Amino acid sequence: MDSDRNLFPFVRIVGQEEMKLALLLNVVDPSIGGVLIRGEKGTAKSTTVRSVERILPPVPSSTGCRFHCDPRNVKNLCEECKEKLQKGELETYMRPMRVVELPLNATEDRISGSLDIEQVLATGKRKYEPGVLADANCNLLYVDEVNLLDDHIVDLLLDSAAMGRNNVDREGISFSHRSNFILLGPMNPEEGNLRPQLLDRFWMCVDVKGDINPDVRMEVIKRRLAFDEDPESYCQEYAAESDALREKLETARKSLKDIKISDDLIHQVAIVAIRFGMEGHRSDLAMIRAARANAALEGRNEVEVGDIAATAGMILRHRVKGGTFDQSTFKQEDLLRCLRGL
Amino acid sequence: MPERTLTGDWEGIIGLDDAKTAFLCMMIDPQIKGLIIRGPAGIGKTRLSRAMAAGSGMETYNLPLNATEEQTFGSLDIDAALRSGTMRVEPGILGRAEHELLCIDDVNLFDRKFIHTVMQAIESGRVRIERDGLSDSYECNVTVVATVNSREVALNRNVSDLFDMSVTVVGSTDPDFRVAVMRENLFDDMRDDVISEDTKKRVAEARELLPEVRISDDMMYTIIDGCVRMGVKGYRGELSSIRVSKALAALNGHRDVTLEDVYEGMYLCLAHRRERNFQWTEKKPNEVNFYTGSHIKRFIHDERKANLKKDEPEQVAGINDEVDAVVSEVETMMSRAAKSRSPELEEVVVKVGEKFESIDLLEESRKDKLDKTLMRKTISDDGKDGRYTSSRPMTRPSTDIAFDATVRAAAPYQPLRRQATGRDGVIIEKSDLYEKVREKHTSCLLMFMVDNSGSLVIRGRMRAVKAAILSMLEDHYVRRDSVALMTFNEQRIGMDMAPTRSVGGVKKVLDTISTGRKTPMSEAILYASNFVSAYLMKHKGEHCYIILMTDGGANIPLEEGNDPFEESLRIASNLKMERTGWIVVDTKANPEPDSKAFKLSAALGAPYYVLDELKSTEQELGKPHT
Repeated sequence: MDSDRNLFPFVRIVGQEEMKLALLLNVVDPSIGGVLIRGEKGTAKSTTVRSVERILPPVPSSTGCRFHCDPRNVKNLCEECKEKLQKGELETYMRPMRVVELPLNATEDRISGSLDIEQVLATGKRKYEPGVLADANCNLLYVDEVNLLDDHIVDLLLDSAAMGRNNVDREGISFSHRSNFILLGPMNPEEGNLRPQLLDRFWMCVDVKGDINPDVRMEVIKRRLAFDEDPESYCQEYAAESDALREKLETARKSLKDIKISDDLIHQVAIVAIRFGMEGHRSDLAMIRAARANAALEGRNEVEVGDIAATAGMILRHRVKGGTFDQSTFKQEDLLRCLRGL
Repeated sequence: MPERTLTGDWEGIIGLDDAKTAFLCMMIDPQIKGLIIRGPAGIGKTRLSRAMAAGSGMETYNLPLNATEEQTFGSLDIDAALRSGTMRVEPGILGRAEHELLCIDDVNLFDRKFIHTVMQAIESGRVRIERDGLSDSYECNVTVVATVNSREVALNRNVSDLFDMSVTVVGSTDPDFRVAVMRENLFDDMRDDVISEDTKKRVAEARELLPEVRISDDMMYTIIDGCVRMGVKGYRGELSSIRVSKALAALNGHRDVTLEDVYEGMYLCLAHRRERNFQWTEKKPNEVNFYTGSHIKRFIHDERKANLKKDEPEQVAGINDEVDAVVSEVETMMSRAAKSRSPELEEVVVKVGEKFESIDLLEESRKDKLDKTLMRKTISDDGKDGRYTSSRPMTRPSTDIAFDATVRAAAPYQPLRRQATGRDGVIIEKSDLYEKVREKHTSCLLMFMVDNSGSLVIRGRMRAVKAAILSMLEDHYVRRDSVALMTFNEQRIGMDMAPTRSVGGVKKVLDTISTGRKTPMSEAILYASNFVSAYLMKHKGEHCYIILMTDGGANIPLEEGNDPFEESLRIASNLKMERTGWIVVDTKANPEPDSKAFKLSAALGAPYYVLDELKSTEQELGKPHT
């Protein structure tokens, strides 16, 4: 893709450690299920999210499939791929994951897909034309200013995010396909809150602030200027670094299955969830998965308490009760105290 | 990729026992058609509903949130019409799901009218089609499992009544339970979908037994009595309870419905039908008169409360008079103190009280007298954004063409037209054109107009008022509507928070609202009406609700010499405001039936609520699953 070339390299983003960690954890274990990024304008939210594309490890995908089915996951292949598989014609290739963007003004039919008008008029046959949600399958879905989406678009996302499937029943079309994506949503909280239901669909949440240290700001500006001057050679310069990070992510991803989690730790997560008044179980699972991904990222083969301490905040922050009105009632100290058994 | 709750193993889903029982009842008796699973996000609602389908061997059909009417109920079969010009119905989802399971996720987010039509078709077992030049109907025997996220807007009561059963799930605080859930879900999301052979056998046996199950008149009276006490409207409550009790008896292997079956049945069938203010309590055997079983673990009407309510009004009226006297005395004192700039009485700031689960005022007042054109949520819209719900013949030039409907309209003529023109493909003429009808959530401004005069402080009601505002905002209006806050007292009438979509600041503002002194009701009403009119001029297409929270006690008139209260009534009844609805919340504790606030609400033509009755009892229904 042409636009790839002009993406700011992820490895050159200054600071914003938590946001970067959240994104990396999601890449390592996509089942963590998405990040909500809250922060004021101009704090590199969108830049960072877009730049993730440069470090995404390749995934297997079936050739010629509109939904980029993952051939390892036989159960969830689309009808076409299933047919191919039966005939023994299913071919696969490795493709880089992509960041698919959902523009704010996208219409319903382009998101969920709709009737292929050309086909109908030419042949009189109905055919489904896939939309953004099809494109997003096995990819990252990036919704800028997610809090400004119209309600009926949010509803669409909810449906897919909940089930990993997009069900279309409109305009004479009845179709269902997998749409399993990592949801990335930067938002500016000044513009209004998210509906609680969508909030919960983001398994993680990070708050981003601009740094007030002049030296840090200087560095940010210098790098940006250097990039703007000659994006191509700037990216070239840091290509090796980006490749190294990509490989690290790939290794971490592969090691995920072999990472051990002690019963004690799982119990501790449960205690944390109860202490912070979590109702559903999504938070518990997310905490364990995030801690596991963190261990994988650091190259360990066992999850430690430190992994939970480092990641649980991102999961609890937006779920703590009362969070609707106060930006965050979650305190890291409380988490540490809880982990220490106090 | 996140392999979430698409498939699942029934036995592997820990907890949610009530929901499982309810589902077994539906498998035993196909006459039991609908189940609502209500609970917070991430508790396993969706996963269970999928596992139910998979485990029972039924096909699952989903009703997507953006399903169009044609696709749901059925419409002209385009293919047949194009090929041969035959007019034939192609059934919609409701037809395709015949004898199968229909999952409706987030049923509370659907358009009310639409989902009502869907549920009615399912209840009556027939879908009727009157569209596209077709008049037909087909059978519809569908089992429905719907989920409701308890943090979003509540499900309309008329809709929920069409479901036989409902269960509420709440989060568990048992660490071991949570550990088990994590263990179960952490590593293996891809499981085969099984309901154990044991359970299947039980269901099969129960199905055979069901025709022989009898329910005695005594048991039926127990159900009827329960329904009457709980204020269940209509007979659906009784009918569902009886059916479910019988299914439960069959499941438990007896031919006669026992008291236990009846209680379990009522528990499943009446939770969503009971009167909102009905008090449920844990059963205490010595308080039960009619019910004789000692094992009723759930809820029984608290007799004492009912008796108390009957005796209360006279007493309360007396107390209120006394309080009124004290209030006016203190108000005068405060006024005087303010004039002499006494610092300690200058400002009384009250903190926010305990928040609670509140009812949705707009939802409730729908039933009352609110103007129908003022309904929140959806209106048909001329713009191109919004949800495409149906189509209509194009009457004036538009680019928003509904292609499916257009092709449908053109389809029957195709063989003729092809003959006439000698061309291939689909031939569409101008008269075939249909345009999309779109519906959009209309924005709505909710203006809380709070009387913060002295009378509220003295009665200690300010905390409750603030708590109520926060609870209402949190429960129902988050992100959906704009909110504004206006307060009034002798010193100041004004906006404390201009209309905003971000409710984040409300709590802070509420914390700093001071209270004190007298009530210039007339002036405040005029101020509010001017402000809202100006706002609506600027924001075309928006509606406004003014939620007036007051005890109605006015004591500063607009014109010297007028009776302040009478004057405010006169002004209220003469107000003419477009796109604006008033709602009056009486802040008095135990107000007398014809309280001042009530009279004011009548003058405004507004629904009337009592502050302490805003608490919904839904949360009490939750039962931790252990």
